[in-house]
Formats: sequence, structure tokens, C-alpha cells
Amino acid sequence: MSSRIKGSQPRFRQYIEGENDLYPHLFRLVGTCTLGTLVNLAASAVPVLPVDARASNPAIADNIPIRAVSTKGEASTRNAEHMDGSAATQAPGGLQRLEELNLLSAALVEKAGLGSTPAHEFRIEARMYRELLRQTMLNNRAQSTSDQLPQHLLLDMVRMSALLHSAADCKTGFVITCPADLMLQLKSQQSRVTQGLKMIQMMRE
Amino acid sequence: MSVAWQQFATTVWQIVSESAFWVIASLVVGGLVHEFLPSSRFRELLNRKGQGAMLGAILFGAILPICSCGVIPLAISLYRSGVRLGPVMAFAAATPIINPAAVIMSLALLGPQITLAYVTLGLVLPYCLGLIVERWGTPLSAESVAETPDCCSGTPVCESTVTPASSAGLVSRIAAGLRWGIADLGPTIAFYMTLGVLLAGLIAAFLPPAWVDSYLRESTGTALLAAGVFGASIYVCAVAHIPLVASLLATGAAPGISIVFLVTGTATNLPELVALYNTIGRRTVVMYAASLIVGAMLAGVIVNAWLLPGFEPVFDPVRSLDLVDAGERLQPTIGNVLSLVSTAGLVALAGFGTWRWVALRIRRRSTAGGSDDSCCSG
Repeated sequence: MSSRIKGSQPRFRQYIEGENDLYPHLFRLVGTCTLGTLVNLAASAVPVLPVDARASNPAIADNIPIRAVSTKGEASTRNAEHMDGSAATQAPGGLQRLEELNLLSAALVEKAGLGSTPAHEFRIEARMYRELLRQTMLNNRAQSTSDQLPQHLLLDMVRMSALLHSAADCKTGFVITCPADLMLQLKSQQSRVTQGLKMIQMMRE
Repeated sequence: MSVAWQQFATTVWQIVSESAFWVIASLVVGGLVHEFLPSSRFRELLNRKGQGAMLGAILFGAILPICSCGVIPLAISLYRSGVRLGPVMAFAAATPIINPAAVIMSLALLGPQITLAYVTLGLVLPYCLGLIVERWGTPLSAESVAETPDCCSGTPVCESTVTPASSAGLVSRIAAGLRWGIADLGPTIAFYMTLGVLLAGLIAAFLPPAWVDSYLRESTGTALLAAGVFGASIYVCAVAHIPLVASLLATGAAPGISIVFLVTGTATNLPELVALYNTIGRRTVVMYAASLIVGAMLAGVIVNAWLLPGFEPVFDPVRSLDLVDAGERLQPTIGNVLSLVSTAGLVALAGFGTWRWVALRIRRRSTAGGSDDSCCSG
């Protein structure tokens, strides 16, 4: 047994040191891939939030880096330094928050259709959409009846949130790949929410 | 065209990766069931005359969070362990339709009326289906024995499908059960599932989604039939598809159509039907699929008559969101690594099953002229 191990060591060193033509390349390739994967994993472990959701949302302001959502695959990371306590004191109205959430869901729908969005990133953003929606609905509930947002619009956004979570479960390996029927419903629901918001804006104006 | 093939590949991958863990787990449990059930008192309970066994199978299936692909190995192992056909098929139908997570999600997104109809149908339909299949289905017979993997996989002895009580030790019995589940039943089921998955992938790739969308928004008899047949052929997971149905409902789909799509979609799919067709029997599976589609259509008509016109699911959005959260927490999620390992295992089983199927055909052809001493020859 020990002679087998001893015998295998020089052979292994041969491969590493390049006396064999094929194996050094193989080892280098495997090493590079492993290192690259580790770096990617470390980079993606930081929670990221889309920039569309940032504006005037005190709930997401706490020291979380925000990555701009870009459907072309470009992403820029920066700190949410402008969202300090002063922003929190100027909390926007419920309708404005819904508009921001609508922008966030629109960005997520586009990302769902790309076929290259990292699943963990999409899941975090879908979760954030849900929590912001919950917060908005709770705030809305505390307001007087005349100032409350219409129930049907909120229900549509709840459905949107559930659809986004279904999309987050559609993974091919580590990226989101939505089936055509779900994609169709996501787009249809998105346009429904957008239309609902426009109607309310028109009515309030 | 390339988009369609991309959609085909995506669908195939998604069905396999979503169901792989449950299929493997079900094979393991099925192997143990096959080894231990015949000698246990539980089998007597399941085979007792009357409706108790059927109701027990339905209620047991309703609390298991397994999809329609994952339930196949368990149902087949119950069948091959000598359990009556009625309870087995009722269990196979009830398990994917109803589970606690799906009921809560339905309550959150579809409203109480549709949830009531969904739960009632999810319990009544498997019961009726079990009665029909037990009355007119194919019992455990020469037909199913001829296709038994034990017999045709090169195992030297043609053994009975019902294993007699063994006097061996516990560890060796567990090993025997796992060997039967993974090595004998696994490749056969994975092979037939592969055929079904490829067919389901072709349907998903070449059926225009807009066509389905427009059909699901109508409430005519043709639309009910289309929803039933389409739902029965594609792979639908109840929890994942309830938001999709909720979205359809909100944009004007008839509630009856939603019920038909949800019930037939979750209860059956092509991988399941192809696997059951080749292992349990043709007549039984045709009756199983037809009963489900017709039963769901009848229920759809009743639900439409009850809730139309003017049905709009209205409920408290905050409570709805809380319920969605609760439903998602109840649904077990499989991690990426476990999912990938299970997928690799299922693909390996399918490869082995394909090789075994081809080898069997070649052997049959080569011995067709001479005397065939194989047990599969008849």
C-alpha cells in the first residue's frame, strides 16, 4: 500500500511540473475554473438590490449596496448613501410607493425574460418587492378610508408578487429561465398593474 | 425554430430538475415499501374490503408534498406489493392535486369559493376514480408481470411481484428493498419518464402560448375540454401554478376553467401517464386519464354555474400576502446542489433503463427464430 503511494508521488509531480504534455494544461484549467467559481460565489454572496427600488424607500436604505438593474446585463454597484435619515422623514405617499414598486416589478419581469439572471439575485429582489409591498399595504391600512389605495390594485400587486416568486423558482442551474406561459402571465400582469396605476393617477389629477 | 428548440430544452430540463429529487426519494421509499409492506399488517389494512382503504389512501396522499412525477414510483411499488388497484390510483391522483401548501396558496390567491371547489374536487375526484378503476381496471395480472423489470432485466429467476415475507435480517432487507427500488424499478420508470418528458417538451415548445392563453379565458365546453387535455399533458406543480391561474382569473378567465386546468394539470402529465401506461396497464391508465379529464370538466361546468356571471375574487390583500408566505414556507424547497445531484442520478437511471430496454429488444429479436427460454417471452 505504502509503495503504491510512494510510487504515485513522483508521477503526480511529473504532471504538475510539466514533464507530461497534457496534464499541466488540465491542472491549470481546473485550478482557474475553481478559483473563478470561488471568486464569483464570493462576489454574489453580497445581497444586491435594484436601483429602481431605491428612490425614497427608507425600508431599503440600511447599508445595503444597490446594483442598478439593467436589462442589457450591465450592472453598477454603489452605496445607498443618499438614503439617510432625511430621506426617511420625507416618506412619499402610497401611490408614489406603488409606482416605485411597479418600476421594480417591470425590471424584474425583464430580467426574468433574459435567461441569464442569477437565481439568487432574482430571488432576493422578488423578496424585497414583497416586503416593500407589505409595508406599503400596512401603511395604507392605517390611513383614513378616503385616502386609501384601491383594493383591486393592491390585489393585482399581490398576484404580481406571487408570480415573481414562481419565476424565482424556475431555474436552469443557477440562472432564471421562465417558461413561455409564465412569462406571458408576468407581462400581462405587469401591464395590468401599470394600467391600474395610470387610471388612479388620472382620477386623482 | 431555434427559439422553439430552446424552449424544448428548457422545459425538459425544468421537468427533470424539479421532479428528480422527489422521484429518487420516492424510489427509495417505494423500495422499502415493496420489501416491508407485504409482510406487514398495513397491507391488510390497505386491502380491507369497503371504502376505508380508499379514503385512507386519499387522505395520506393529500398531506404528502409530492408532485405527479414523484408519486409514480411510490404508486407502482404499492401496486406491485399487492395493494388493490383502486386505492393505489386514488393515492396517485390525490397526492399531487392536494397538499397543504397548495390549499393555503389557493386560499390566498384564488379566494375561498374556488378553494372550496378545489379541495372538494381534489378529494372527491380521486375517490370516484379509484372506484371506477377498481371496477373496470386491469388487476395485477400477466400483462403487468410481463413488463416487470425484475423479470426482464436479466434477473435469472421470474419471481412473483409480491415478495413473500423474508426471514433475513433488517439490514439485508433494507438493502434488498433499496436494490429493488433503485436498480430494478428505477431504470424502468426513468426510461418511460424520459419518453414522457420529451413529449411534454415538444408540446411546450411547439404549442403557441397565446393559443393556450386565449383558450383558458373562455368558458365554453370546448375551452373546458382544451384546458383539461392541455392540463393533463403538461407538467404542472400545484403550488407554482396557482399564481399563474390567479393571474388568468383576474384577467377574466372563467373560474371553472381555472379549476379544470389546476386539477388535471397537477394530477397528470405525460411523463406520469407514459410511465403508468407501461407499468400498470393500458386500460387502467386510459380510464385514469379519461376519468380525471371528464370529472374535472363536469366540476368546471358546476363551478361556472355557481360563480358566473360576475365572479371576482376579492379579499384582504395583506392577509393574502401573509397566506402566500405561509404556503411558500410549507412547500419544501430543494437546494441547488441536491437538485443537481438528484438530476444526475435520474439521468443515469434513465440511461441505464434505455440501455436495458435496447438490450432486451435485441435479445428478443435474436431469439425470435429459435426457442426463447426467457421469462419475458410469455
